[in-house]
Amino acid sequence: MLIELITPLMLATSPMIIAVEPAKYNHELQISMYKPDTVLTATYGGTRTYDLTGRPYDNDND
Amino acid sequence: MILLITGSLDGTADLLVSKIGSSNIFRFNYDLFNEYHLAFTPAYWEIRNPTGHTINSNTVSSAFWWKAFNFYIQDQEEFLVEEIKYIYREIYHWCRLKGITKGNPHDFHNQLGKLNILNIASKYFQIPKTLVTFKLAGVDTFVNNHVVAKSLTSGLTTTNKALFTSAINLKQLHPNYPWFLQEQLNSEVDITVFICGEKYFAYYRDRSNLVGLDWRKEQNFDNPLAKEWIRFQLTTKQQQSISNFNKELNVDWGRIDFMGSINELVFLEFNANGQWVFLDYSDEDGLVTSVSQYLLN
Repeated sequence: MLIELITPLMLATSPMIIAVEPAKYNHELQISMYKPDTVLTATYGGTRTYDLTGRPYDNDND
Repeated sequence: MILLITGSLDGTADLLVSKIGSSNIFRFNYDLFNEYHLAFTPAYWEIRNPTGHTINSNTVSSAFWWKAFNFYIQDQEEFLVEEIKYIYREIYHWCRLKGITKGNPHDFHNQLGKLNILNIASKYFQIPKTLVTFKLAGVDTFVNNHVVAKSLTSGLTTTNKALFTSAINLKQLHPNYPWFLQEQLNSEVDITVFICGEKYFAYYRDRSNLVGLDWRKEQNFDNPLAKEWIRFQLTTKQQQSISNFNKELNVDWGRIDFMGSINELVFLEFNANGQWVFLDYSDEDGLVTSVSQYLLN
Protein backbone atom coordinates (compact mmCIF):
# COMPACT_ATOMS: atom_id res chain seq x y z
CA MET A 1 0.00 0.00 0.00
CA LEU A 2 1.29 3.45 -0.90
CA ILE A 3 1.80 5.83 2.00
CA GLU A 4 0.95 9.45 1.35
CA LEU A 5 4.02 11.56 2.08
CA ILE A 6 3.73 14.73 4.11
CA THR A 7 5.73 17.96 3.92
CA PRO A 8 6.30 20.70 6.51
CA LEU A 9 3.97 22.93 4.51
CA MET A 10 1.18 20.39 4.82
CA LEU A 11 1.51 20.42 8.60
CA ALA A 12 1.26 24.21 8.84
CA THR A 13 -2.01 25.62 10.13
CA SER A 14 -3.45 29.10 10.42
CA PRO A 15 -2.78 31.06 13.58
CA MET A 16 -5.76 32.68 15.25
CA ILE A 17 -6.40 36.05 13.66
CA ILE A 18 -8.68 38.75 14.95
CA ALA A 19 -8.73 41.91 12.89
CA VAL A 20 -9.09 45.08 14.94
CA GLU A 21 -9.12 48.77 14.21
CA PRO A 22 -5.61 50.17 14.46
CA ALA A 23 -5.18 52.03 17.72
CA LYS A 24 -4.29 55.70 17.81
CA TYR A 25 -0.81 56.22 19.16
CA ASN A 26 -0.39 58.99 21.72
CA HIS A 27 3.05 60.60 21.52
CA GLU A 28 2.52 62.49 24.77
CA LEU A 29 1.92 59.32 26.79
CA GLN A 30 3.94 57.16 24.36
CA ILE A 31 1.32 54.43 24.42
CA SER A 32 -1.38 53.22 22.05
CA MET A 33 -4.93 54.12 22.89
CA TYR A 34 -6.84 50.90 22.27
CA LYS A 35 -10.54 50.59 22.53
CA PRO A 36 -11.14 48.36 25.58
CA ASP A 37 -12.60 45.45 23.65
CA THR A 38 -9.91 45.24 21.00
CA VAL A 39 -6.83 44.15 22.90
CA LEU A 40 -6.49 40.72 21.35
CA THR A 41 -4.52 39.71 18.29
CA ALA A 42 -4.14 42.38 15.65
CA THR A 43 -3.48 41.79 11.99
CA TYR A 44 -2.84 45.41 11.16
CA GLY A 45 -0.14 45.32 8.53
CA GLY A 46 0.27 41.57 8.57
CA THR A 47 -0.10 38.42 10.64
CA ARG A 48 1.45 38.28 14.07
CA THR A 49 1.30 35.19 16.16
CA TYR A 50 1.09 36.85 19.54
CA ASP A 51 -1.50 39.19 20.93
CA LEU A 52 -1.19 42.77 21.97
CA THR A 53 -0.83 41.83 25.61
CA GLY A 54 2.19 39.70 24.81
CA ARG A 55 0.56 36.29 24.84
CA PRO A 56 2.37 34.07 22.34
CA TYR A 57 0.41 31.96 19.95
CA ASP A 58 3.37 30.46 18.16
CA ASN A 59 6.96 30.02 19.19
CA ASP A 60 8.32 32.43 16.60
CA ASN A 61 7.96 35.45 18.81
CA ASP A 62 7.28 33.95 22.18
CA MET B 1 16.90 57.97 29.46
CA ILE B 2 15.93 54.56 28.10
CA LEU B 3 15.63 54.19 24.32
CA LEU B 4 12.88 51.67 23.57
CA ILE B 5 12.98 50.54 19.94
CA THR B 6 9.65 48.91 19.22
CA GLY B 7 6.35 49.25 17.35
CA SER B 8 3.45 51.52 18.18
CA LEU B 9 0.98 48.64 18.65
CA ASP B 10 2.98 46.65 21.16
CA GLY B 11 1.18 46.09 24.46
CA THR B 12 4.32 45.08 26.32
CA ALA B 13 5.92 48.39 25.35
CA ASP B 14 2.78 50.21 26.55
CA LEU B 15 3.10 48.48 29.89
CA LEU B 16 6.78 49.32 30.27
CA VAL B 17 6.26 52.98 29.38
CA SER B 18 3.41 53.22 31.88
CA LYS B 19 5.51 51.59 34.60
CA ILE B 20 8.75 53.49 33.97
CA GLY B 21 7.11 56.85 33.26
CA SER B 22 7.01 58.56 29.89
CA SER B 23 9.61 61.17 30.84
CA ASN B 24 12.24 58.50 31.60
CA ILE B 25 11.89 56.62 28.35
CA PHE B 26 11.88 57.45 24.66
CA ARG B 27 9.75 55.14 22.53
CA PHE B 28 11.05 54.97 18.96
CA ASN B 29 8.37 53.16 16.96
CA TYR B 30 9.60 51.65 13.73
CA ASP B 31 6.15 51.67 12.11
CA LEU B 32 5.79 55.42 12.82
CA PHE B 33 9.25 56.37 11.57
CA ASN B 34 8.02 59.38 9.64
CA GLU B 35 6.56 61.01 12.76
CA TYR B 36 10.02 61.49 14.30
CA HIS B 37 12.78 63.99 13.59
CA LEU B 38 16.10 62.16 13.41
CA ALA B 39 19.61 63.53 12.94
CA PHE B 40 22.34 60.89 12.93
CA THR B 41 25.99 61.68 12.24
CA PRO B 42 29.07 59.57 12.97
CA ALA B 43 29.60 61.60 16.14
CA TYR B 44 26.11 62.35 17.40
CA TRP B 45 22.42 61.46 17.04
CA GLU B 46 19.18 62.97 18.19
CA ILE B 47 15.57 61.83 17.87
CA ARG B 48 12.55 64.00 18.65
CA ASN B 49 8.90 62.98 18.70
CA PRO B 50 6.04 65.30 17.68
CA THR B 51 5.54 66.55 21.26
CA GLY B 52 9.18 67.67 21.52
CA HIS B 53 10.24 64.74 23.74
CA THR B 54 13.88 64.17 22.78
CA ILE B 55 16.67 61.65 23.26
CA ASN B 56 20.20 61.93 21.97
CA SER B 57 23.54 60.18 22.12
CA ASN B 58 24.41 62.09 25.30
CA THR B 59 21.19 61.45 27.21
CA VAL B 60 20.62 57.79 26.33
CA SER B 61 21.40 55.55 29.31
CA SER B 62 20.22 52.19 27.95
CA ALA B 63 18.59 50.78 24.85
CA PHE B 64 16.13 47.93 24.54
CA TRP B 65 14.99 46.36 21.28
CA TRP B 66 11.49 44.95 21.55
CA LYS B 67 9.83 43.41 18.49
CA ALA B 68 10.33 46.52 16.34
CA PHE B 69 10.47 44.65 13.04
CA ASN B 70 7.44 42.56 13.93
CA PHE B 71 5.47 45.61 12.93
CA TYR B 72 5.05 46.85 9.42
CA ILE B 73 5.53 50.08 7.55
CA GLN B 74 2.48 50.61 5.38
CA ASP B 75 2.54 51.53 1.72
CA GLN B 76 6.25 52.14 1.35
CA GLU B 77 8.58 51.09 -1.41
CA GLU B 78 10.58 48.04 -0.29
CA PHE B 79 13.82 49.93 -0.94
CA LEU B 80 12.76 52.60 1.56
CA VAL B 81 11.69 50.00 4.09
CA GLU B 82 15.18 48.50 3.95
CA GLU B 83 16.78 51.95 4.30
CA ILE B 84 14.62 52.67 7.36
CA LYS B 85 15.41 49.29 8.91
CA TYR B 86 19.09 49.99 8.42
CA ILE B 87 18.78 53.23 10.41
CA TYR B 88 16.94 51.56 13.31
CA ARG B 89 19.54 48.79 13.40
CA GLU B 90 22.40 51.26 13.35
CA ILE B 91 21.01 53.34 16.21
CA TYR B 92 20.72 50.09 18.18
CA HIS B 93 24.28 49.09 17.27
CA TRP B 94 25.54 52.53 18.30
CA CYS B 95 24.15 51.73 21.75
CA ARG B 96 25.55 48.20 21.64
CA LEU B 97 29.04 49.52 20.93
CA LYS B 98 28.68 51.78 23.97
CA GLY B 99 27.73 48.73 26.04
CA ILE B 100 24.36 50.11 27.06
CA THR B 101 21.98 47.67 25.36
CA LYS B 102 19.69 45.52 27.50
CA GLY B 103 18.13 42.22 26.53
CA ASN B 104 19.28 40.50 23.33
CA PRO B 105 19.69 41.67 19.73
CA HIS B 106 16.65 41.00 17.57
CA ASP B 107 18.68 38.66 15.36
CA PHE B 108 20.20 36.66 18.22
CA HIS B 109 19.16 33.32 16.76
CA ASN B 110 20.75 34.11 13.41
CA GLN B 111 24.10 34.10 15.19
CA LEU B 112 23.66 30.87 17.11
CA GLY B 113 20.65 28.65 16.33
CA LYS B 114 18.63 25.98 18.07
CA LEU B 115 21.04 23.06 17.59
CA ASN B 116 24.04 24.96 18.90
CA ILE B 117 22.00 26.13 21.87
CA LEU B 118 20.83 22.57 22.55
CA ASN B 119 24.45 21.45 22.48
CA ILE B 120 25.33 24.02 25.15
CA ALA B 121 22.21 23.17 27.15
CA SER B 122 23.13 19.47 27.19
CA LYS B 123 25.96 20.29 29.60
CA TYR B 124 23.47 21.49 32.20
CA PHE B 125 20.14 19.77 31.46
CA GLN B 126 18.65 16.73 29.86
CA ILE B 127 17.74 17.45 26.25
CA PRO B 128 15.44 15.52 23.90
CA LYS B 129 16.83 13.64 20.90
CA THR B 130 16.88 16.21 18.12
CA LEU B 131 17.65 16.03 14.42
CA VAL B 132 17.73 18.42 11.50
CA THR B 133 17.82 16.50 8.27
CA PHE B 134 17.93 16.67 4.52
CA LYS B 135 16.90 13.47 2.71
CA LEU B 136 15.88 12.05 6.12
CA ALA B 137 19.52 11.27 6.94
CA GLY B 138 19.83 10.15 10.55
CA VAL B 139 16.17 9.45 11.25
CA ASP B 140 17.11 5.97 12.47
CA THR B 141 18.00 7.64 15.75
CA PHE B 142 14.27 7.82 16.50
CA VAL B 143 13.60 4.13 15.95
CA ASN B 144 11.92 3.64 19.32
CA ASN B 145 10.50 7.10 19.82
CA HIS B 146 7.36 9.02 19.05
CA VAL B 147 8.51 12.03 17.08
CA VAL B 148 7.32 15.60 16.54
CA ALA B 149 8.09 17.99 13.69
CA LYS B 150 8.85 21.58 14.60
CA SER B 151 9.89 24.77 12.87
CA LEU B 152 13.40 26.18 13.18
CA THR B 153 12.53 29.71 12.15
CA SER B 154 8.82 29.63 12.90
CA GLY B 155 8.36 31.81 9.89
CA LEU B 156 4.99 31.96 8.21
CA THR B 157 4.14 30.32 4.91
CA THR B 158 3.07 32.45 1.96
CA THR B 159 -0.50 31.79 3.05
CA ASN B 160 0.32 33.00 6.59
CA LYS B 161 0.28 29.59 8.21
CA ALA B 162 2.60 28.46 10.98
CA LEU B 163 4.11 25.05 11.72
CA PHE B 164 3.15 24.24 15.29
CA THR B 165 4.70 21.28 17.04
CA SER B 166 3.06 18.31 15.30
CA ALA B 167 3.22 14.59 15.91
CA ILE B 168 4.35 12.76 12.79
CA ASN B 169 4.91 9.27 11.48
CA LEU B 170 8.52 8.97 10.30
CA LYS B 171 7.47 6.74 7.40
CA GLN B 172 5.33 9.56 6.00
CA LEU B 173 8.00 12.27 5.83
CA HIS B 174 8.75 13.51 2.36
CA PRO B 175 12.52 13.17 1.84
CA ASN B 176 12.82 16.25 -0.36
CA TYR B 177 12.05 18.71 2.43
CA PRO B 178 14.13 19.92 5.37
CA TRP B 179 12.86 18.54 8.68
CA PHE B 180 13.44 19.60 12.27
CA LEU B 181 12.51 16.56 14.33
CA GLN B 182 12.47 15.94 18.03
CA GLU B 183 11.63 13.04 20.30
CA GLN B 184 8.12 13.54 21.69
CA LEU B 185 8.24 13.98 25.43
CA ASN B 186 5.49 12.83 27.70
CA SER B 187 5.21 15.53 30.27
CA GLU B 188 2.59 16.54 32.79
CA VAL B 189 3.58 20.19 32.61
CA ASP B 190 5.09 22.84 30.40
CA ILE B 191 7.71 24.83 32.23
CA THR B 192 9.19 28.17 31.40
CA VAL B 193 11.78 30.27 33.18
CA PHE B 194 11.95 33.98 32.48
CA ILE B 195 15.43 35.44 32.92
CA CYS B 196 15.64 39.12 33.83
CA GLY B 197 19.13 40.11 34.87
CA GLU B 198 20.00 38.11 37.98
CA LYS B 199 16.38 37.14 38.61
CA TYR B 200 14.74 33.93 37.41
CA PHE B 201 10.96 33.57 37.36
CA ALA B 202 9.89 29.94 36.98
CA TYR B 203 6.36 28.87 35.97
CA TYR B 204 4.58 25.68 35.03
CA ARG B 205 1.39 25.01 33.15
CA ASP B 206 -0.69 21.85 33.50
CA ARG B 207 -0.77 19.78 30.29
CA SER B 208 -3.37 17.27 31.45
CA ASN B 209 -6.23 19.07 29.69
CA LEU B 210 -4.39 19.69 26.44
CA VAL B 211 -5.97 18.12 23.39
CA GLY B 212 -2.91 18.63 21.17
CA LEU B 213 0.78 19.01 21.82
CA ASP B 214 1.31 22.76 21.84
CA TRP B 215 -0.06 24.85 24.71
CA ARG B 216 0.06 27.96 22.54
CA LYS B 217 -2.87 26.65 20.51
CA GLU B 218 -5.05 26.01 23.56
CA GLN B 219 -5.00 29.20 25.55
CA ASN B 220 -7.99 30.93 27.01
CA PHE B 221 -8.16 33.89 24.64
CA ASP B 222 -11.64 34.77 25.92
CA ASN B 223 -10.08 35.88 29.16
CA PRO B 224 -6.57 37.25 28.63
CA LEU B 225 -6.15 37.77 32.35
CA ALA B 226 -6.83 34.13 33.28
CA LYS B 227 -3.89 32.80 35.30
CA GLU B 228 -2.77 29.73 33.37
CA TRP B 229 0.82 29.68 34.57
CA ILE B 230 1.69 28.89 38.20
CA ARG B 231 4.90 30.15 39.70
CA PHE B 232 7.23 27.71 41.47
CA GLN B 233 10.58 27.95 43.19
CA LEU B 234 13.63 26.57 41.42
CA THR B 235 16.01 24.44 43.45
CA THR B 236 19.49 25.77 44.13
CA LYS B 237 20.88 23.21 41.67
CA GLN B 238 18.42 24.25 38.96
CA GLN B 239 19.28 27.91 39.50
CA GLN B 240 22.97 27.08 39.20
CA SER B 241 22.40 25.16 35.97
CA ILE B 242 20.45 28.06 34.48
CA SER B 243 23.10 30.49 35.62
CA ASN B 244 25.88 28.43 34.03
CA PHE B 245 23.90 28.07 30.82
CA ASN B 246 23.33 31.85 30.70
CA LYS B 247 27.01 32.54 31.28
CA GLU B 248 28.02 30.26 28.43
CA LEU B 249 25.47 31.90 26.16
CA ASN B 250 26.46 35.32 27.47
CA VAL B 251 22.88 36.36 28.16
CA ASP B 252 21.01 37.84 31.08
CA TRP B 253 17.63 38.03 29.38
CA GLY B 254 15.23 35.63 27.71
CA ARG B 255 13.02 32.67 28.43
CA ILE B 256 13.94 29.01 28.64
CA ASP B 257 11.25 26.45 27.88
CA PHE B 258 11.41 23.07 29.55
CA MET B 259 9.27 19.96 29.85
CA GLY B 260 9.55 17.05 32.25
CA SER B 261 8.61 18.00 35.78
CA ILE B 262 9.44 20.81 38.17
CA ASN B 263 11.90 18.40 39.78
CA GLU B 264 13.48 17.21 36.55
CA LEU B 265 13.83 19.83 33.84
CA VAL B 266 14.23 18.74 30.22
CA PHE B 267 15.48 21.63 28.10
CA LEU B 268 13.49 22.44 24.99
CA GLU B 269 14.63 25.84 23.77
CA PHE B 270 15.90 29.28 24.61
CA ASN B 271 13.83 32.24 23.44
CA ALA B 272 16.20 35.19 23.26
CA ASN B 273 13.40 37.71 22.93
CA GLY B 274 10.57 35.73 24.43
CA GLN B 275 7.28 37.22 25.51
CA TRP B 276 6.89 37.36 29.27
CA VAL B 277 3.92 39.56 30.23
CA PHE B 278 1.51 36.63 29.79
CA LEU B 279 3.13 34.94 32.78
CA ASP B 280 2.14 37.72 35.16
CA TYR B 281 -0.30 40.22 33.63
CA SER B 282 -1.13 41.89 36.90
CA ASP B 283 2.49 42.13 38.13
CA GLU B 284 1.57 39.96 41.14
CA ASP B 285 4.96 38.31 40.91
CA GLY B 286 6.74 41.54 40.03
CA LEU B 287 7.72 40.75 36.43
CA VAL B 288 6.88 44.18 35.05
CA THR B 289 8.52 45.84 38.03
CA SER B 290 11.65 43.70 37.65
CA VAL B 291 11.92 44.39 33.92
CA SER B 292 11.51 48.12 34.56
CA GLN B 293 14.32 48.01 37.13
CA TYR B 294 16.47 45.95 34.77
CA LEU B 295 16.07 48.57 32.05
CA LEU B 296 16.67 51.47 34.40
CA ASN B 297 19.83 50.06 36.00
